[in-house]
This record gives sequence, structure tokens and C-alpha cells, in this order.
Amino acid sequence: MGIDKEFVMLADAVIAGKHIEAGDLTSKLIDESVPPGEILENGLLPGMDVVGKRFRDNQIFLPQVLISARAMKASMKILEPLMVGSGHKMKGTALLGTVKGDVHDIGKNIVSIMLQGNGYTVIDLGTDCTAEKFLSGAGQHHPDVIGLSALLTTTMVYMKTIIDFLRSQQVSIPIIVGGAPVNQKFADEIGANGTARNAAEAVELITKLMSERKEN
Amino acid sequence: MPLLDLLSRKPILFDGAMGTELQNRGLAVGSPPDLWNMERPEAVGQVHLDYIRAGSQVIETNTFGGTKSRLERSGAVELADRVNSSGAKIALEAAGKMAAVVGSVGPLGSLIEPYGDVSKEDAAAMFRKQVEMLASSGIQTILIETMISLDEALIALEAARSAGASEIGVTMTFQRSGDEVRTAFGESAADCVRKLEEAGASFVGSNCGSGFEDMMLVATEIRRSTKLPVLIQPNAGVPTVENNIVIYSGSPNGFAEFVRNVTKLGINMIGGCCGTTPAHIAEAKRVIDSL
Repeated sequence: MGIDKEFVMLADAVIAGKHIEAGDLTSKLIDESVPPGEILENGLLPGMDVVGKRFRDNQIFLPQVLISARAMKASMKILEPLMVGSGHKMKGTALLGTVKGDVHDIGKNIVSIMLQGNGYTVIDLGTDCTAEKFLSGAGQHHPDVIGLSALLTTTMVYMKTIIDFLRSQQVSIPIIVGGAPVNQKFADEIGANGTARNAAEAVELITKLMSERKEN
Repeated sequence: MPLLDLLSRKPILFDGAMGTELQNRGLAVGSPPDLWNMERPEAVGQVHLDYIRAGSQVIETNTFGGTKSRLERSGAVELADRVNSSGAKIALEAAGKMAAVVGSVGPLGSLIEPYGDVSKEDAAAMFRKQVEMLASSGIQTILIETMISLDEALIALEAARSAGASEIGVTMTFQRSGDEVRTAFGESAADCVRKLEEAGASFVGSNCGSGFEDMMLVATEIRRSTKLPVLIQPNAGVPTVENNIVIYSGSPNGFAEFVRNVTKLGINMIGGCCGTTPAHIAEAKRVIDSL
């Protein structure tokens, strides 16, 4: 079987959410000496791209995304150790966290998966994150973008505290915000560099912000 | 007396928000409202009283986050029993003979397998434990609310029944998806209420969401999909932030208009979710009294 056919099969396994199949296909490609970066680029990313677009267009919903994410993770678990030091260049690094007081992480986790599925490194600070935690994360990992998530209307106001604090500490990295109650008006009001309505749009936004940074 | 015995020609009026109302009274943003059952019981009791004075016939316990799973995440898991027993006591005392009390049960805040790490058995056990605490503290009617997954709602319903609750309502949160309303998990409102009815819910409905307008669509869809009594509790619109304060755009007058419209659909019970206040409930009462 041709390598291209196997890439398509891997993408299909991710789209269908078949995690065992995704893991097996990844191992097989590795056995055939295909570089891990190529497996990511030609198998996983095209698969997650389809998942992201279908999610954005309301053709599929959370459960299917979560199942696809599990399949992608099964493959990444095999690829990641091999990619370290392989010279494969990731697109950039995103530092993500759910803000203080909010224990919801479904949205953030989906953005995380979509970003990884699009070739970004993701540092996930988890839930209930304070401004200080974002600052130390930024200092330690030098991300290209910081993403704040809040699902509750009662915690979204804390996003402004975090942005104000990070800016006061001379952190100039773009900061984006997301979550069910967040809209563009709110993002503008609190001085965020952007927001997106869903995970697929978040990836597009981050890609745009990074290319703008490179141009400057 | 069972809650549903209150049903009559006019809708039953529930209360408005608890969490955002406690924030209006000093609860720090990011702090779990449920812990005020121990720290500031008089403030929680006062919110209940304010709603009853405004016209609420039914109030909800301040126990939305009273499952082990949620309290664990805010580092207060050892308080699970007390959150629920204190919450029940405060509400029952405030209600006296003037209002009925329902026990609020919210989502676990964690995904259940196969999408997350919590097993179905553990999820059921956490819901059962919370309802047992509420029931042994004198709460007979349970309201499972803000569910975004039908699976989790059904697990909670079954667990509440096995914990001895005599009446169990389930309200879910839907979002607009084109012309349809669906949960975040993609389930249609019609499907959800039909399955909840089959599974033995005493009443069904919707709470939270993105304001009055979308909730009219949700209420319409639910009403035509079930014969059960329906409870509708919208948010006061989508919040914005001005000067570090979260402002809800849905005014008491807007809520009154919503109550007028939703009553025409044949909705049996109405209350408010995030951002609604005693002023919203007072306006709703004026509308209901005039019917």
C-alpha cells in the first residue's frame, strides 16, 4: 500500500474517532520509517482540519470532537517522543488556561486539541488559574499567544484582571479570550487581542496573530 | 405537598438567580456560591426571603455546585455534606409556609466516559450522594439543571430517584444552532425532553442560555414535544462588562415581556437564571397576577 493511502486512512481514523486504529496506523507508519513530522502533517492535521470545520459548521457536536481528539491523542502519544530532537518545527506555542473560579475546561480542551491537531505546541495550565499563574507560565514557556477561557458569566470578569496584570508586567504577547459568554464586544472592552466563537475559529485567529507578529 | 400540586391555570413563579445575586451582595468573583451556606448563611437566607417577598412561590436551595466533583475542584470536597444540609436548612427556614423549596443539582463539571475520565458509576454515586443529603434534610423535590449532555441528565435523574427524591425535574441548557436548538452535545431539545419523559422525569424544561429571545424558541420546541409540566428559567440576556462589573442586559421589564409571551405557549412554571434579580421576579409576578 502507498504511503499516501495510509495517510488518508489515518486521517479517516481521526475523523471517525477510532483511537485504536489511529494508534495502530501510526505505529505502522513509524515501522515503515516515515518521519513523525510527516505523519503529523499528512495524516493527523488533515483529519483534525475536517473535524474542526464540521464542528464550526454545526455538522458535528462536542461528542464527535472529543472522540476524534482521543484518536489524535493516541497517535500523538506515539509521535511526540520521536519528534523531540527530530528537528520537526512546530508552528508555535500557545499557553492556555481557564481563569480563576472557573472549573470548566471543555472549551479550553477542545481549543487545545484543535491547536495540537494543527501543529502547535500547547502548554495547558488547567483550570482555576490566577493572573500570577499565567505570568509564570509565560516566563517559563515563552508562548507566542496566551488564551484565557471562561465558561461562566460570573468568572469572565476576571479575564480583565489577568490582561491588566500581564500588561503591567510588560508581557506583550497577544492574549485572546474565549468561552460561551464571551463575545467580540467583551473582548474589546477588556483589551484582549481577539476572540473566537469556536475552536476552529480560534486556530484561524491564532494563525493570523502569529503571522502578524512575524511581519512586525 | 408535592410541587406539582401547585399547578393551576396560571404559571407557578420560581425564584431568580442565586450565584449572581450573591455576587451583588459581596461574594467574590471566582468563589463558589455554595460555600456561603456555611460562611454567610444569613446572606443566602436573605436572597431567598427577597425572592419570596417579590412573589416567588418556589425557591431553589443554594446547592448548584454541591456534588463532590465540583467541590473537589474548588478544594472543598470535605464540605460536601454540609453544603447540602446547610443549603436545605437555610431555604426551608426562609420558605416557612410561604413557598415551596426545590433542591438544586447542577452538572458535575467533568466529562463522563467515553468523553472524559469520570465513570458512569462514579457520576451516579456523586449525584446520589448529593440528593441523599438534600432528601435527608427535608427536600422532596429535586431540580437537576443546566445540563448540557442528555447522558449526564439521565444519570442524574436515575441517581436522584434511587436516592429517594419523590419529584424530580430536569432542565437543560440549549444553544441556537441555525434554526434549531441543541445542547452543546448536539442533542435536540425535542429529543431531550422525550427521553427525559420516558425516563420518568416529573417535569422538564430549560434554564440558562443566551437570553429571552432564544429561550422563546427553546420553550416553543419543548412545549410541543412533551405532555409533562414545563419549567423555563432564562438568563437575563448575555452579560457585558462595564467598569469591571458584569452587567446583564435583560431588564425586569424585558423579563415581564418574556413571561407574558412564554405563558401564551402554555409553559407551567417560570423563573430566572443568571443575572435575574428580585426586581425581575416582582415584574413577573405583576404579569402573572394580571392573567
